[in-house]
Amino acid sequence: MSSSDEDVGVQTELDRRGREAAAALRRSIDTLVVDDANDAPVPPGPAVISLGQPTGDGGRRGARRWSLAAAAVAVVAAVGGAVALLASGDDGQAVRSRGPVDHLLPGPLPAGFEPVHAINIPDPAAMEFGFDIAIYGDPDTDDPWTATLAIAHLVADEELLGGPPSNGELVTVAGHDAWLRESEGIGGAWTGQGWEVEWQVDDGRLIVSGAVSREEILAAAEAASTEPAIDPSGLPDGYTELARGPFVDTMLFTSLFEGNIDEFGLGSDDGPGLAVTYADPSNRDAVRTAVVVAQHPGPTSAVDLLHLSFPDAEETTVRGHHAVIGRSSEPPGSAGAEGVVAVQWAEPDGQVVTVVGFGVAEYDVLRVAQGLRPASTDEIAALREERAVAAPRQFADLPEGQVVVATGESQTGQWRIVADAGSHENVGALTIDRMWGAIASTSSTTGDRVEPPLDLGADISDGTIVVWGVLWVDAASVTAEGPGGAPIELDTHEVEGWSHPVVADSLPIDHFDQGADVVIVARDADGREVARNSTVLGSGG
Amino acid sequence: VSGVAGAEPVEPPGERRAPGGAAAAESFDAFARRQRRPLVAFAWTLTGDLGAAEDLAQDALQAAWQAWDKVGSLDSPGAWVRRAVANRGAGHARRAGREHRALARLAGRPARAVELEPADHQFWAAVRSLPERQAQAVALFYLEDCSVAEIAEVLGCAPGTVKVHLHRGRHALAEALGLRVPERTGTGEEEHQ
Repeated sequence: MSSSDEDVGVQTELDRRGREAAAALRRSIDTLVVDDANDAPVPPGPAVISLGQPTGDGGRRGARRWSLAAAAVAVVAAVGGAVALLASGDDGQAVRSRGPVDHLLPGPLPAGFEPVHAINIPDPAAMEFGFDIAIYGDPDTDDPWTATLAIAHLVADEELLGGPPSNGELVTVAGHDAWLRESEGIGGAWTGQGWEVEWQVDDGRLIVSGAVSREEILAAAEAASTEPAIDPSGLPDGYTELARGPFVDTMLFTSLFEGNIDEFGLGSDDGPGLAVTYADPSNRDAVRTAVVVAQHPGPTSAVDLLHLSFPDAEETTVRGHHAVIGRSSEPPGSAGAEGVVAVQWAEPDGQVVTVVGFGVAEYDVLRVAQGLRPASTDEIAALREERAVAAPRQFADLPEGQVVVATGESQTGQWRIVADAGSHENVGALTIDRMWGAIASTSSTTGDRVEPPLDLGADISDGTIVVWGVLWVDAASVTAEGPGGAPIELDTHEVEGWSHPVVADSLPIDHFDQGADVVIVARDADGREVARNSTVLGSGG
Repeated sequence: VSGVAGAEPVEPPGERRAPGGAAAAESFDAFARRQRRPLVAFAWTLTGDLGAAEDLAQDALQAAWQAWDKVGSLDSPGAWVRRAVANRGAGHARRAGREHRALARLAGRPARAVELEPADHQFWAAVRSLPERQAQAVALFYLEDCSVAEIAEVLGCAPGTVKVHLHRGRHALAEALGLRVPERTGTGEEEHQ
């Protein structure tokens, strides 16, 4: 056989293999790629696709949140404002000046999911509170986030910040009085004790905090500026900037503040950001699984700030963009076995997008993230209008052997006290279920006896205090009493088969003076006190 | 020169089904539905990962939609979207593939995969092992039965360049598949040592 004949034979065989492989591939693709929503043309809108960030609420929020964030929450709550914070770009320019945000909507969602709640993330410029932060660490270590150094610039009136800083050791930083104290750290990734220094600046506070030594934190504070930044001369060896941006805790708008939308004015104005909660409306479980998609203007450098909320966060890629993914199962059971999964990244148009799953498989969270598409203005307007307030949720039916003792309403939700009728009215026999907003819920069962004979529990959520427990003494009335408001008589209820009644009632969270000691008093028919509980609603309780 | 003789007719990038103005008159909706599977298949030949291929195809179609006024009026909108896939490069595709596999692994679920006979998998794996442009040219040649001119239009290069890519690519492919004894390289001195 000649070389030429051999070549022809090889090419013929190659072409045969190629034809067969091509045909097989086409058949397989035809089978796998179905005609679904993805086949539809991309809807009108800008060519942007992105994802966003998270953390939990009072019930779902990861326990290891950092102190500055907590401080910010407290400040914001005090203000009655929201938490979106000043947005500084990498170059220090205001990110919000880039123009309107291009909103995104999910493609495929988990089965049964649909929008159940939508709120605006307000423009920081419209608020009187800002929270910019820069994080430093050693990028050459295995996990730079285990020993970070942070500088935070809180911008707010001194009154809002609760007066001048005063706790800790008075030191001098760059010629100014400052307060030095030990700190449990910034973010849960810290592995040891750290330090923080706080001092006043013209427009608010500077706080330098880090998992470093006392000497190192003071050196960093000396080199700090309100940019905020720490000059390299004040950084430990090897440290460089890891992340920077406004600390916008998206979950504050989706979970923690559920039920407080009106109170904080989050649902009223047209903010540049948007947080939409998707869930199955027919899901009557107290812990409703959900996916939240939130986006707001922000720099790329802010993406890694997700590490502050999720100690074990990892880098990943979403739609070709650098992203950070975090997972949390804390507090246990709050979001079911799947826990909380959050992925965050920045889009080229200057917005940070966060997708958070509560009790949703990580695969589904990432699938939602990958499938985001640009939305039209009309779509977003309709979403905001129709879903500004989450529809009331319904409790699931009780299993056999349990009975509802009492029910009531909170600001946006409801509560119920459930008795296990088959057991005695002792420890573990009463459970409180609460649900409000789109996904928020709590559930707890009476635990160890603390203050007999009036053992009570209290749950404070959604603008309402629910008090419940077994009344172990003969009493004609039970009242909540405290400064700033008239006594409130609490209802008692009989449970079939139980020898003692159950106290179960609610009162508005602001009925008595904030922070005041409130006592629960049981009295007999003659008005004589027969039992008292001073801990459950005490100021230290 | 046209694609391999005997290949099943598919949706060629040159829009033979709707040449010229006919393509321009086509709605994006119809275009996207007709092109999606071939695009996914083409992207899969370059990535070997179905999820990444679907993403690449969707991104290309989205880009086409955003410029549909221009793309829709081209003689070959199909070539345009294939170029959009090809231009993302093998590196991007590989990263996307890893990303999808990682997602599937994290979720504890098997990644969706194209099911082929081992010989067919071997063929496409060999294509992916080629240099990027050769792989693209060979994939279009076999998968889409493209002519040299059509491949040149997709890849944005001269027909002569495509011929070189195809020649070298097919030659290397034959060697990789064991159809041809690899040619010796080097000085030959090694054999004498």
